[in-house]
Amino acid sequence: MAKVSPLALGSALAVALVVSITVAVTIGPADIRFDEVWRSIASHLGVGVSPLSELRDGIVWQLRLPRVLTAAAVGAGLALSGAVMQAITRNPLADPYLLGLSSGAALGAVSVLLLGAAVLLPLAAFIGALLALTLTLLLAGSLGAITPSRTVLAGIAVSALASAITSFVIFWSVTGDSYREVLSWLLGSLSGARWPAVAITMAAIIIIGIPVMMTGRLLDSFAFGDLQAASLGVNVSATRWGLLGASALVTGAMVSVSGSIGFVGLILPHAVRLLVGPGHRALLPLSALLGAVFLVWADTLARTLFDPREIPVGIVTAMIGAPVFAFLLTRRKSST
Amino acid sequence: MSALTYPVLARVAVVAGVSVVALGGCAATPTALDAPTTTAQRVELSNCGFDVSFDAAPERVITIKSSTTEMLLALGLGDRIIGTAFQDGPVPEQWASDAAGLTLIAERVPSEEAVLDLEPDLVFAGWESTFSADAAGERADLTSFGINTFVSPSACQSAEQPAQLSFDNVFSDIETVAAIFQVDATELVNAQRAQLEAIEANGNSRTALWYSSGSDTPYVGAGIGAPQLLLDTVGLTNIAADVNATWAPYNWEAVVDADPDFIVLVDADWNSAENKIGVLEANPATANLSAVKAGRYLVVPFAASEAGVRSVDAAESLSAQIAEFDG
Amino acid sequence: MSQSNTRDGKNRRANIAATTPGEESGLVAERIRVTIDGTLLIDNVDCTVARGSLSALVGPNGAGKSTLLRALTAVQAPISGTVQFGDEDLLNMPRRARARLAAFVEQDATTDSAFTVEMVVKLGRLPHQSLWEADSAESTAIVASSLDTVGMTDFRYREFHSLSGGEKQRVMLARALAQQPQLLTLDEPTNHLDIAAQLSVLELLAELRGTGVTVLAALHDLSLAASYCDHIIVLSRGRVVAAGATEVVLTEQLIADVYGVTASILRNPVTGKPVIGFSPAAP
Repeated sequence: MAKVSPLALGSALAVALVVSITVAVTIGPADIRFDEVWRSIASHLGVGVSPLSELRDGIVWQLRLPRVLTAAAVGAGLALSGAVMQAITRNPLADPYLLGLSSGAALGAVSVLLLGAAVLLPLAAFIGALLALTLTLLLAGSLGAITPSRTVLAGIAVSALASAITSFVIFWSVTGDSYREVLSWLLGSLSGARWPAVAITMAAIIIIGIPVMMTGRLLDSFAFGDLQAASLGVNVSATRWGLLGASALVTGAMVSVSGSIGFVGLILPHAVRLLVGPGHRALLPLSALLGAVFLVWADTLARTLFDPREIPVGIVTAMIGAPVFAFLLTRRKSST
Repeated sequence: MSALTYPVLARVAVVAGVSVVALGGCAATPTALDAPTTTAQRVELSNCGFDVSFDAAPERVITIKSSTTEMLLALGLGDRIIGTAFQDGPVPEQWASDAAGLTLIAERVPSEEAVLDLEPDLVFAGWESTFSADAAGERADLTSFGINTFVSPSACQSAEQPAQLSFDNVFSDIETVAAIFQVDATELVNAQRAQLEAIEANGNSRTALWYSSGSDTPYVGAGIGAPQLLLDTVGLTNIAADVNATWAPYNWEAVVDADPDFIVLVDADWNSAENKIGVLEANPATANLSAVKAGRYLVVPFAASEAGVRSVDAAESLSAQIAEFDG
Repeated sequence: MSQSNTRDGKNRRANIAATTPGEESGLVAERIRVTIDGTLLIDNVDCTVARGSLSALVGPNGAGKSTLLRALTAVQAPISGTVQFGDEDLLNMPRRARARLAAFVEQDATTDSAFTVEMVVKLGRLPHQSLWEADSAESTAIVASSLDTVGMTDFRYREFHSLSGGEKQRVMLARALAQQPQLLTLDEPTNHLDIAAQLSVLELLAELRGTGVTVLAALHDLSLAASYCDHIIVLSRGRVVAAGATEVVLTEQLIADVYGVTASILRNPVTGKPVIGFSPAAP
């Protein structure tokens, strides 16, 4: 018997997500009442009039709401990508950044940050991610037929290279307190999330993420290897490269907006697996839902724990993620 | 008598001090540091928790950051500077001619080898972080080479950080440096005190944001350092006063919630005031701040925003800018 | 024993009479060549498997049995040649249609996933389902009946990992049956199994004969092959050395030529089937 019914968990998470967004948007350093927050949002949606001054209204509509929505989308995208990467590479330690994506994005982002052109950040990060991915695939291909393990190894090499260059760029040109901005990006932060970020991340989820979530059966077919998958009528290489590419696009979009937030893509699929078992038909959408809820709360903590000081959300995910990961490892030992 | 910070008082042991007084040196005010003489005096003190001692006044000084360069220029010691590094902006007019001849040895922090190559007897830094192995060198390391190291006491972070920076700290910094170089800072300090007294505190408890850098997350002047001091001096209330740090990462929501009357912009070559205005205007939440809409910006050059000889000037400038808005 | 088909090691078109006259033809493969990484592994093989029969593919290690099996079901397509099953061109069919027609059971199936037995068998329904549709009642029934056929119904919710070798093999067979194939190919299904398990797997395969499924299994145990399989294809170094009715093809001389050992063909007193005894080759 599945430990928890996927349908039950899915419904619970969907409800949790709605509740989380509703509540998280009302939490913050500024003291605004629950009803005021939602009346303000409603007024922007054309219903009623905002009870807040223009400035405080801006807090809700320009700062909190886009940030919470972006957190949900980024959490969903990263968790989904993590689950897909773990399936494709058949490696439980895989995360969305495996193919050099985050290191490439970091290089793009840091270069642009230090040149002072912060406006171009998402674009530069996205381009950096895709360049790193291309390099990874070229490198893997040069070793012969491209296999998952070769791709992972190539990704490690490209990540190392990109990180080295990034470190050099930081060391060479950072001045004053731009260390802080760079570090914040590298740790992963949602503090810059405005409506354009919502558009980018939601588009990634809707256009790419949702179709990917439906490929659960295909991923299951890989359980016994490529040959058995082929015998089940699956186009192995198209599936593998299609999913890899989709995952990379989603991750690239998320990283470009929020930097490399860690642990979400690595841990959450495992948590879902513990609850509903390894079938990907449930795992993919449930990971996305759990990722969304998790990051909404992690970000809320990040911006209120040390009110009025903010910490990058990547710190919160790491601090929660690392012990949870250790716990999951011990549980896995007994179940495998 | 100037209120030297306790550790300095306790540790300054002027060996021949008594004998100097006995010899009838022309000390004007009875401070613990007596008037300069040409005899070598040993000066020992603790600087950011690190013990330093000077057998003689340093003659070959490398200054890192504008605050230290300008401190020496203000004390008329420009001729002792053999090299500067990591400067924050142009030197103010009154010292421009002295500064003209100074050699910039590095845009950022110089390496330890570059420091040693110049054979200094003192490295005088405005930031404690410049004394690390991958930067100018560890303090103990440099000392073993016979090179003294000194950090502006108000900038100490690892130890002996002032709990709440005051102008007494600023002036005692000047006096400590003067003591090390065995010159008289009295005139300078008195002039600064007088200038300070004359500043009109026209802030009238209006609120201000001290915006140093950062776009997604603003890096602001917080409650215990130079920004707080300057804002207090002109009578402005720092919206981040309750944060127990010199500078700290903040968040835009709290800024918008506070809707400060003024925004102080720190102007540095690597992060200009204009740049920050751009950030404020581009962010749809902060674009509606009353200070942004009205353009009520007060500009402070970076070098003057850290505790040093320009602090009084900075306060004066702030007051004048406020007067312009009010007038 | 007739020695009409063997001896010279050259390829021959096997002449196998259909066991049931009037039925459609079974698997017919012609001029199969497989090259992997530049090495020619299967060299112009023709072979035929009668519909509804249980046939064995035998040969020494490295003969190319696995390669040939994969080529026949296009799991690893050959670089040239044709494979027909009845009217269908197996190599050029759409994948999913092919998967509904032919099932393949890999050697030594292993997985890192913590799948239950039921989930493994459900994989076999993939060629019949679209990505998003839920499991239909029919699918669930087919899974159940496949499990029942292999006698693993009680193991339904057990984790695949926790099964013995023989049990795993039966589950993999159930998975293949869930595809509702007409052609079932198996690569060494009795590998690493104890005797009882080996026999039970082959008994199952023999039972399938009655349901009209054509079965081709690569086997390394000649006695088992001789015991259960009506027809046999002998492969050596990528070429068919002999093919035909087991009783006819499997001679002591053939075995000596192909395997390089001395064989003695005896008879099992209980089943009446051939049993092969081996001794080292004569010096």
